[in-house]
Amino acid sequence: MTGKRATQLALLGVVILLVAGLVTGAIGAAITGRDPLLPTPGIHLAPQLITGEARGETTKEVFSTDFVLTNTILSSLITSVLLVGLFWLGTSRLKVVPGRLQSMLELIVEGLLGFMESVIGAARSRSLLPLIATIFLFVLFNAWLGLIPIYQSFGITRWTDLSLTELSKAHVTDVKGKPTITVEDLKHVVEAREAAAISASGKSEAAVEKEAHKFAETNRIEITDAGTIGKQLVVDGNPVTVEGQRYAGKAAEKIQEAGGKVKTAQAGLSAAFLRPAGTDFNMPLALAIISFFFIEILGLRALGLGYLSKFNFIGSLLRFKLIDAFVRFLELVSELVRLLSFTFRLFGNMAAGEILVLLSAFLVPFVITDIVYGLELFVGLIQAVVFAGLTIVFAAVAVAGHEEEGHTAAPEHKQPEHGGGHS
Amino acid sequence: MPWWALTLRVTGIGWFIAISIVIGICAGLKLDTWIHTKPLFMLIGLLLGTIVAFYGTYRAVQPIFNPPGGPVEPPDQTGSEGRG
Repeated sequence: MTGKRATQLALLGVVILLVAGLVTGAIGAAITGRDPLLPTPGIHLAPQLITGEARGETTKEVFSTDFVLTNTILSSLITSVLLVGLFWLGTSRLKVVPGRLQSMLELIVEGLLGFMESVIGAARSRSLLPLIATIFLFVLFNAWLGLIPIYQSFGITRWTDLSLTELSKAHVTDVKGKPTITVEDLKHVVEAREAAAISASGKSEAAVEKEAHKFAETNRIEITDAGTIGKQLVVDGNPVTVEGQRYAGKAAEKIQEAGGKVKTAQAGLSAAFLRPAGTDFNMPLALAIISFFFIEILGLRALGLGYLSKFNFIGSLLRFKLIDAFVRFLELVSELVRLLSFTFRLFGNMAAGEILVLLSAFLVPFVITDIVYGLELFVGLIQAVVFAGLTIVFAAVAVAGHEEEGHTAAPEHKQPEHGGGHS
Repeated sequence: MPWWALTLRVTGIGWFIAISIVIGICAGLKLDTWIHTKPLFMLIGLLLGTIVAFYGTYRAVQPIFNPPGGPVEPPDQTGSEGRG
């Protein structure tokens, strides 16, 4: 009876949270015509710099050195340290009757080993385990670390002082890069916005007039250069408030109306220190390259130079075997395409997952976000399995020597010929 | 190869098709801008990309219909499943 009661209460709680999410989220805000409570999430595919300077960009880094460190690199380093530490801790005092950590690690390693043995055979899987297990665990932990709620909240907001002249040169330009907005324009924008911000904070009309006039005289704007996340206008050291954020958004709109270009309109952290590395295109690419060379070298080691014969389309072209040459050419191309399809699969899934969580938290917070969050946990696992699994599957295909490949090669080389005859 | 490895390979087809066609078109467009033959190489790239996509699909599904070492083990009786 009490169990039933508890279930009912829990259900009630979920429904209340769902309604609260609908009311407080951006969708509810749009229906009721309010401004959303949360700032629009900034979505960025490029990683942000912690140190080092981006080529051709004038943004200042947090710590000034030449060494380039992006938040995704830092995140992947943390993942590596975590994994190494975990396995070092678990295996430093090995016991015959394993403890909790050791048995968990044994479960992971044995699971992976079994998984590999069924594909590539027991003889090879032991020597290949380190790489495959590393890929699997690295992708998995990268994805899951990024889902820890506070993980991406660490960061710093950079404040850059810019005069109006500098601002009109640096940030408000037309397509050709010429300043289209004069200092006067910007002053007007600031004036209008400031008046709005002050009236919103509930002062009297006269005070607003006075304040607006005062701010119109300022010839200095501080821009919190929020890096790639956002940009915020603050007049004369006005503190960053919700009004301030709206202020920033509308100012950017006005600048855009006048034909200027503003990168992004919303305020935010200038540099989030941590971001899951899978959302940076470079990490999947690096993993895909590693996996690509791993497969090729494995094939070369297993079959010698004979491995390359299935790509040797020039040789068959010289012997006027056109269909054969075409098939071998396709084999080569599909090998190279696989490199990119590995990359884009992981990158796409990770980046889309992050954006999905961010947007669902913005649009309908609480319940819907939880569902998306669970989905993302699952996607992280699936992507790790797919990446490691496909690497080992293709390695098995590459290693499969003439005794097996010769079996399949005979009908395989005939059938495209058949198809070729049709077309 | 166990059933799930084949499944995994088939799972990759979607991305493979997309990427190979996109690469074909992009390479064709690049060649076109170099040699100024606007639609020609783009179309050839599209055709080639499609052929590569179909070939990759064929290679991925072939072991299912035509397994090298007899029929594929059904999922319910694999000893490997318990280990993996």
